[in-house]
Parts: sequence; C-alpha cells; structure tokens
Amino acid sequence: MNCRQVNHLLSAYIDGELPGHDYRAVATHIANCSDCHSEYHSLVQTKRLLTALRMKQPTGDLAADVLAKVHASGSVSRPKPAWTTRGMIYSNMLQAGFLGAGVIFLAGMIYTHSTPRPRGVSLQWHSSTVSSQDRLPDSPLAAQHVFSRVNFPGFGPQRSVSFTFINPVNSSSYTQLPSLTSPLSARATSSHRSH
Amino acid sequence: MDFAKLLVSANRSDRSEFDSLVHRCHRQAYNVAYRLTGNHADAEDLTQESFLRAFRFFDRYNRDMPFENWLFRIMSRVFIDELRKKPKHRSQSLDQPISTGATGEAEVQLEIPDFEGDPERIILRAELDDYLQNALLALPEEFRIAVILADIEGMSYEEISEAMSCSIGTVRSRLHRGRKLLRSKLGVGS
Repeated sequence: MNCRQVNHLLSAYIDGELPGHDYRAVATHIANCSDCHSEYHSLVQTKRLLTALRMKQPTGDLAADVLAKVHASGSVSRPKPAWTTRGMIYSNMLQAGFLGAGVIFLAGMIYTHSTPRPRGVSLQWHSSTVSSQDRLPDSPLAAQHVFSRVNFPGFGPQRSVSFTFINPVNSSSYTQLPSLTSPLSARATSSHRSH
Repeated sequence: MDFAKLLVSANRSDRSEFDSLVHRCHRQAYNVAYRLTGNHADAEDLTQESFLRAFRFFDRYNRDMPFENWLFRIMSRVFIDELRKKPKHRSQSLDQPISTGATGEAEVQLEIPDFEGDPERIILRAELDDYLQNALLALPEEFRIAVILADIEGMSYEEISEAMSCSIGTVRSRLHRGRKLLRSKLGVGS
C-alpha cells in the first residue's frame, strides 16, 4: 500500500472501520512512514477534540415544549400500507340504513400470497392501528381513507388482523374478522351495539 | 373482547411510548441539533421539527433500530431541507475577523489555540467549544453531519450510512474529508 492509498483509509483506520487485511496494511505502513504517521496523529487529535466537546443543554423544558407541539399536531398518520405492492385490498362498503344517519363501512384487507396459509393463525394487533380519532366517518370516501391509513408492518402469511369501526353517531361498532381459509375480503358479517 | 377499547388503548400506548422516547432522547437530540446549527434557536427548532416528523411517521419506526438513530436520520433530512429553504446560511469563517460592534475598537481576530503547547495555555473549555463549533459550521453540511454523528454521537459507519441514506464508502469519504477540513480550520498541526 502506498502513501496515497493509506491516506484515504486513515479515518476509517482510526474509527476501527477497516477490514482486517486493510487494517494491518495501514498499521504496518504508518509504523514505517513518518509522513503518514504525522497525518494519522493529527487526525486522531482532531477526532479527540470533537469527542471531548461538552454536551449542549437545552434551556427551559424542551421535552414539554416538544410534547405540547406533538400532541397538538394530532394522531400518528397512517400511510398507505407497504404491503399493497404485493397484496391486494378488497374494499367493500356497506351502507346500513337502519342505523339512521350513520353509515357503517368496512374495509377489508387482503392477502394474496399464493402459498397455503398455516393453521393456528393468531390474531395480531399492531400498536399503531386505527386511533380513537379515526372513528368511522359518515361518508364512504372518508371511511375508505380510514382504511387506507391502517398500517400493518410485517404483514405476512402467518398474520391476520381484525378491524373494529365505530359509528360516531350511535356508537355502534362493527368488527371484521377476516377469514383465514380463503382470500380475505371485506364483508359485513355482523353489526351490533356496544358502548 | 372489546375491540373499541383495544383501539383506544393502542393509540394511548403509541403516545405513551413516544412521550417516554421524547423524555429519553430530547437532550441528545438537542445536542446534535446544536452542533449542526450552531445556535440555540435553530437547534430548538430543528429538535422540535424532528420529533414532530418522527411522531407523524411513528408507525414506520422499526423497533429493531435504536430510536435515536431513526431520529437522527429524520433530523439530517430536516436539516438539509431547511438549509435548502435558506440559501444564505450563516457561517463564521475562522479566518474572518469578528466585529465587536463597539465603536473605535479594532476587529478581533479569531485566535486558534495552540494545541501542541503547554496545557496551561489552552484556553478555557467553553471558548474551545466555540472554536470547535465555528469550525464545524464552516464544513459543508454533509461533511458536518457525518463528522457529528461519528465523533459526537459515536455512531458506526453503517448507522451513519442509514441516517444519511448513502453508502458506507460515501460515509468514509465524507468523514475523512470532513476531518481534514476541520483539522485545517483548527490549525491542528501534524
């Protein structure tokens, strides 16, 4: 290894980020080359100065300020599920006239993996599902939006998810438990009142 | 099972987890933000905006990664985005005289401490911090981010490459060039 090659590797050498053979080659070179050793030494000094910097402390209660803004900003957003690229969503919406002004919708999620699903699938909830603010809106478009914001990270063949939508008008709820034996499609299977 | 309650509880659990992360990380986040921006007001803004974005996309946070690393990735992006909005970024050249603002007084030249000299001559730590901070601000932003994450946060090249969305080779190059520039700004002799 010549001086130019060694020079390029010096910072990574100092940081312990070189593979063994490069590390040994640099170590051997700087032990025998005063120019490269000086270069190495000055870079070590520069790094030391930075690592010795004091930690800057915020004034006031920054955590409280941050949390006030965070909570004022509303809920965690629900981006379009990542798995839509390899899955399909079947979304049906059911208008339930007997519920009066409210409309019940449902949205289903579908898994299109071609392999058979294992038995004994457990019901899983991700902590970031529909939030309390995402109660069922009173328009089909908005209901679809609620669904699109539901996110299921790591969704795979062994996982399944159920939804509960709550009608804000009369507090009725609808729970969708997806079938595990056929492609899941959203179907209204029940509706009942709950509090 | 009452799913409605489960939903509400899941949402509360998200918030509660995020709240504890803010309490745990806000000082560290502020420190990095300060080293990136060089002043208190911008550091607070950068910290707050980074946490806000983190909360907005909290459902994308992969729990296998330390929250701090994910936050610094967001912070790096916010920092670069904000800089693009503000083309005239304030920076202090170490070679440029500072105006004291007082009439009749000569401009003060920034003095580079003699690090090779007697330790007794090394200026007070607070002033040393200022010199280093000014030198950091004189670095191109991408070099600055890499140097701060490596030398102040102690992150590995792999973690920095994730935070900066670039290859490990790019991290290596940015760090090396950043340190060499910093060395020349600080006058660290070889």
